Amino acid sequence: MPPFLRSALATSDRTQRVIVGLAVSVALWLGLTAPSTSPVAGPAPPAVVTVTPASVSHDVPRVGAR
Amino acid sequence: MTTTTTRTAPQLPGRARADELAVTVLLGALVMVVWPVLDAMRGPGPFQPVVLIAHLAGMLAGFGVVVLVGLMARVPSLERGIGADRLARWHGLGGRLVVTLVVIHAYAATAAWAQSRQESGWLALWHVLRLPWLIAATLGTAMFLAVAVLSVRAARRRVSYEAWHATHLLVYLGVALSFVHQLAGPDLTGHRALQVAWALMYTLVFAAVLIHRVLTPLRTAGRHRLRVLEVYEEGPGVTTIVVEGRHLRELQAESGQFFRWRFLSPDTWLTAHPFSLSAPPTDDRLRLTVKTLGDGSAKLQKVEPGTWLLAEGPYGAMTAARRTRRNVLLIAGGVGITPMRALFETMPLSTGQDLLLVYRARSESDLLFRAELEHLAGSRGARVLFEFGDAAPPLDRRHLTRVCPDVCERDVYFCGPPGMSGALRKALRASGLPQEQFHEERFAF
Repeated sequence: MPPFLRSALATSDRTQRVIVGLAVSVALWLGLTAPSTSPVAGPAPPAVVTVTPASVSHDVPRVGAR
Repeated sequence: MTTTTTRTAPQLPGRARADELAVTVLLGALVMVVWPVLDAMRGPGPFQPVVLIAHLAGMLAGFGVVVLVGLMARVPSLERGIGADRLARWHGLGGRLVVTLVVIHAYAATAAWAQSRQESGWLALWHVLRLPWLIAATLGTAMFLAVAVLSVRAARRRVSYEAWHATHLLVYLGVALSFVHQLAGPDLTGHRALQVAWALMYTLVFAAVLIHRVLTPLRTAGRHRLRVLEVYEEGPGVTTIVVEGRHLRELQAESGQFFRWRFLSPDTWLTAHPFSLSAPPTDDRLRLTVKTLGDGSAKLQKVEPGTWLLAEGPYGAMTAARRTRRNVLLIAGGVGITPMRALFETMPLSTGQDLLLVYRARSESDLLFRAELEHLAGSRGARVLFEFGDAAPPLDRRHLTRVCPDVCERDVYFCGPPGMSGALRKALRASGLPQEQFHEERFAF
């Protein structure tokens, strides 16, 4: 970790330690209770069934065929 | 018997280097780019460029907000090593970039929704806004945009510093409103460790703001008990304020630095203003000199002796610690003389070394501290050159090398108005002065 990041959160006294401790606790709470699935993804789009000639079975006996 | 409380001065934080900060930010940005790309490659569906753009812009904007808040958290090692003026400029540039990324993110996300559901843009926007937390995030974005518009130079000129500053505080609300949307974004959901890390990035940067912008000034106020001792006119529209306090050496302020002063009078307590020390600090006195430039500084002309005040700082990197050469040239323009006046008194000067101060003002009556500067020059064996009025030659290479033939061999310290800064930079470049020998603090925040 670069020294300037360490000095930004230097816990040289009790009050600062409390603030940093609170920040870590809040982050844990926020992170652990955050949604596990994204609502932004929204409902799945309707499935589109693509019918290709290959998917059509030709084994179905025609009506009236013998 | 009386006892006095003495405290050893706290160890000064190191001075952060600009390259160290840049590398940290770039590495963070790289992670923000790599993660959505990997996620897109892992995804089951076909590659959709517009979706990737939305994710990249969103992740980078979210990270950018943390960087912007961090730059303005008044972290001492950044303020002392890089300088508040440079941090503020980077914050301004970064702010434009982040707002652009937020707009790109919003546009691309809506376009991706419209594309995947084959809806019109407006219908997609309606559907997107109805998603959980999206209204709050949109309000947050609107606040970012409002601040960005007010910060555009043309608008900034028409708005007072106080109004602009108050509006800027809206950004904190904007960040809070958009935070849950970030945490619940598709790049982070499903990765609990990433969600915790993301939250940690935000809470720690706000902890830094709380420590350095709130806690430290309050502590300074309690420990040093700063109050106005004396107020007197220094020149036309310029006032000197002498502040008394206790144990001021513990602040470890240096000549050339500045504080953000908040005078606790009914008219002035809402805003803190940055002003340089106009004399070297002592254990019980600080002195600042203020020119009327706006509403806030005009009110300070009438501040009463006995007024309590808060002082955040010291800030600024334009100190003797930046010096690299034997000889020094100080150049001041107008009220930019204030930090130079303090440096002129304390810049180390050994036998055989030369210290020259060139001080330019609009007219002779606008010169500040004239008697003090002449006295200091005489007592220290330094030189001072006053240039004022229409007779003052333009600040170009020719003039500079005439008044200071060895300018390229010196450290040059400058404080003055932006126009003069531009001319001086041009003249120094033409003279061949290496960039690392030029030290400037710009005060146009």
